[in-house]
Amino acid sequence: MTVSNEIPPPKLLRLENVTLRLDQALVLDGVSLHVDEGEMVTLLGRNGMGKTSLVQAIMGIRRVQPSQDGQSQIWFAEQEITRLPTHVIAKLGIGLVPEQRQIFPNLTVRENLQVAARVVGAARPGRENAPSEAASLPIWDLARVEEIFPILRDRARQSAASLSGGEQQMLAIARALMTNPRLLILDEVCEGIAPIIRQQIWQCLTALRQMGMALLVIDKNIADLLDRADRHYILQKGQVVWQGNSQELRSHPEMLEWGVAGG
Amino acid sequence: MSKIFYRSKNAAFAQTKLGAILLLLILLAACLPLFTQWGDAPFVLRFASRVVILALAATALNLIMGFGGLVSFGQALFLGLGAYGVAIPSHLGFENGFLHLALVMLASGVVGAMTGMIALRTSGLGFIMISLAFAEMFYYLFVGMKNFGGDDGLSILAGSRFFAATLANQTFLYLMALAILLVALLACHLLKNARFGMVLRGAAMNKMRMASLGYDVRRYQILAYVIAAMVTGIAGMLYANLMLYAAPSYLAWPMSGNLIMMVVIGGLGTSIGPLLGAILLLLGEEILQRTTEHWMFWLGAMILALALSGKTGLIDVMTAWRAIWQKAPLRLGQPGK
Repeated sequence: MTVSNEIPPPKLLRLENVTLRLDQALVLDGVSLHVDEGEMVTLLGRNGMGKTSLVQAIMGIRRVQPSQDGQSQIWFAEQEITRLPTHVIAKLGIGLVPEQRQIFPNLTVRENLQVAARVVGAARPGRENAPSEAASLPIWDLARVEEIFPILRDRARQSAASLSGGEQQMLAIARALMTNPRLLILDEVCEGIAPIIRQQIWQCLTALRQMGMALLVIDKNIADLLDRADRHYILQKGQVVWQGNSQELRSHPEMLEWGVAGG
Repeated sequence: MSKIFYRSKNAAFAQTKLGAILLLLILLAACLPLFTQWGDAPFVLRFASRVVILALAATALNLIMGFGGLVSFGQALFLGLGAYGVAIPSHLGFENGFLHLALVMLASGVVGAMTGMIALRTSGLGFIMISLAFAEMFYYLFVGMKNFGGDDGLSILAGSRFFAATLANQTFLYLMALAILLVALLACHLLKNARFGMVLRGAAMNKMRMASLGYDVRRYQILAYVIAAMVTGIAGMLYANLMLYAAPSYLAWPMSGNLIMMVVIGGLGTSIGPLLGAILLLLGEEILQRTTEHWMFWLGAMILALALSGKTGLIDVMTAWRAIWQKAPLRLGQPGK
């Protein structure tokens, strides 16, 4: 029985030497990291360190370039996704809650959710062959997301643009869940959100992690994440300068100074 | 609980009322040939046909411009293709309406797919310029086709024939155009609220965000562009039958500009806006033409007033008036334009 516990969990997302230049500026410099099935990993760092660019590189929104040490490679569920278009990457099972929410303001709240529900079922190709954690993930549909965010049911027929910042953030998370991802990437989800809403969002993410969903959380504030996440990466000037678990991070207070505000 | 029941009862009543009004309007529109016959006013029927046909073309444009946010300044290309799809076969002695329809659908569909695939590689100003460039290319192509009238255009001796009926008959043409318009309006309304419409509308705001939900946005846009091209082609076919004439001017940019104005005046992205826009623009043109020599100036002033009112079209103005009439504050949270 104990043997199975020693088998390392499969790597769901793997980045090898990811390098990205924008207008000659080196934004990402050989970043390597991984997220395992059912794991909550954080990517920490101050503004302008390349966190959002890394998310865009994973999603195929920005194209990575070869690094000095070799080819930039991004793998998801044992498939290389480095050169795939964004919509194909999303269909493989990566959900994104982007920075500044980016809801569709010209659609109603319900339409924002319905349009994302298109890829249900197709979101996890080979779900039957996926590791048990992925196969056992709940199917997210309208009823389920409205159960965890009841405010979205109350506001269903309203224009998404009329929601408050916190409600828009909930909508952005719910919309990403409607794609039934295996990995959910959250980019600065709590920025500009009232503390009470922020706590609700963290509770929701903790619940998702307990359900077995893999999460990559990008944030500047370590205080809320230290007890919730499994591992952390600190990004400094496009490079991973430190990685470790929460216990190790607590024992390296200088790292909190390096890349994290509010630690 | 009783409050909820009362509200839903009110909503059901309002829907029934709206349905009844729409049905009455459709019946009145369908009976127009009878009224014009009784009143001996054939020019009214001819004018109404023109409104209905151009409203059909504007409805098609609304699909890509109103929902998809793609300002096509070359939509007249397909109107012209539709017109020549009738005029050239008629000139060669083929009067079969089904043949005309098949030709028009094929030509506008193929040209729509080819030009759409190129134009949709760009967006914004680039898309406007490329769509305009394609329309101009075809405009000069038809100007150069001396065998088919060249710059002078091509007269149609007999309209498209469907069994015993011909579209040269004004009543038949009007009723057929009206039926097609009603189907197109209904289809547009259903598409708007279907996933297809949601993807188009969402992508108009944020294309990359829609892609990261798993949608190949360009494929959806090309499909919408081709559908719009084919529907505009049908409008062109009807227009040629109305005028009994096809000319390169049908493909020129002023025609595209008129269609854009109809969509914008009526209400960009609303299902019924293009029809209202076509009625307002053509009726305004008709009335002003009869009263003043400088009718274009006054028409321009009318459009300017609408734009300066801060409203996004006639539908928006009507919604605001209704709210004032009911002395109720404007309902917040209505879906955006």
